[in-house]
Amino acid sequence: MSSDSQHDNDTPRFSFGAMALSEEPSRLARAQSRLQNVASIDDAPNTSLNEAVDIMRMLARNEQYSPELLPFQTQTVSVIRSLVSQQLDIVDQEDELEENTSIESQLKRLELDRINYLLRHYYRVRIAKIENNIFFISKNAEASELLSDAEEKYAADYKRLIDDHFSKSFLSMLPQKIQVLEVDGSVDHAAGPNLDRFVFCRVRNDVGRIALGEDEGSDALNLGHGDILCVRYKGIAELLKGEDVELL
Amino acid sequence: MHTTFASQLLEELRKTKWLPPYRDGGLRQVAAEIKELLEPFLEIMQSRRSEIRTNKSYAAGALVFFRSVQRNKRCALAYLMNRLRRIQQYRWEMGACAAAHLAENMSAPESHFLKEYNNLVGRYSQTVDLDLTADIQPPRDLFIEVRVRYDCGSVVTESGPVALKPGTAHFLKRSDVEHLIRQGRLDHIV
Repeated sequence: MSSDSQHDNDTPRFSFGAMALSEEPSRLARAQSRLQNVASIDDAPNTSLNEAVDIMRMLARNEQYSPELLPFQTQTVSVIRSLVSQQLDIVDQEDELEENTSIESQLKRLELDRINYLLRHYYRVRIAKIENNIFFISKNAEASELLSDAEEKYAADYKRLIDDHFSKSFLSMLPQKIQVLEVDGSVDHAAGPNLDRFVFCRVRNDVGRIALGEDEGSDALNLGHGDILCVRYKGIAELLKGEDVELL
Repeated sequence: MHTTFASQLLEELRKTKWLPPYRDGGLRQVAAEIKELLEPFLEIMQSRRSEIRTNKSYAAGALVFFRSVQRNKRCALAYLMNRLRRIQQYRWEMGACAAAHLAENMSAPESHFLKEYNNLVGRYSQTVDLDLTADIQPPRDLFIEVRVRYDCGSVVTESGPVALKPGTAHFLKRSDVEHLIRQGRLDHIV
């Protein structure tokens, strides 16, 4: 970039998220350990956006392909948000200096748009999951711990809307005794997500031999770094939480 | 046969892609059938309670009626829920005002739901400080070329208002006109 020379080395420069498209797991792992170190990101804003975006991309993918709701990634999301607004300020400042908006600033803005898209996508996938499993989530205290505060409020409001609609449209026509919603004899309306679904995943760290089947005698698999598997979600749920695998 | 009405409701929903008219009558029939089915069930439970454990025919009879009640209820709720999902989907895909076109096929509680749902999504978007309904697809360009299909009045852009007359083509910021493209009022020229 030609305008880079105008900056001192100390001022934060714009960094391109798209250049981080190459998906080397080792880079991701490195990036992640760095991200944890720079929780207060202000010290090194210019180096960490690429890495934060890498991680965000991985988290969004995990969320999209896992059948169950994963914990809300408060830290990463807030880091990205603050970085994006910082970068946007920088681009705004640069634009004020120059008369015409240059192609460079347009590219930067587009890149920021794309990062915002990633965030939106993440929020949307989670909202869709919450809506689809609303009865399960509102019944299980465990499941509702995975939500952020805003999502918790959303879930509660949504549940109220649905309940309200059901009782107004249909349940009010029934005798009092069978108006209950959640459990109906042997039929559980609040069934959780299907954890037996098959998912594709890539191993990020060497984990060694692990039995992925639920039976005692099932074969153990040797999971090495970079292996790609198609397995039942249940088998790798723990590994996913420990960030030893990522979903594809 | 038991639960015929209820399965008809679901069948109708399955056959359509668009939101079909709300069947208030159908739901009423299902509710009436549930009441009908409950009568023999309660009669068995009350008058033959002592014999249920010993005489299998009473237990089986009660079970059949009760299961039919459950199935009816489940079908009716599934009908309502799937309609709500469709309404939500339109809300996300086409924006708040386009979803109002569905009004004639919606029941009053459904319209109320849509209104409240709009508020809900709006509130959540505000909390996270991002318009969640924008950019359903990953953005490709900052500015895009569009051709106007139907008159959309004028949109306000950074450089002033632009009048969108049918047949004209414009080069505009994507975020300003995205909702119009999704409503089909503008064509995106690729």
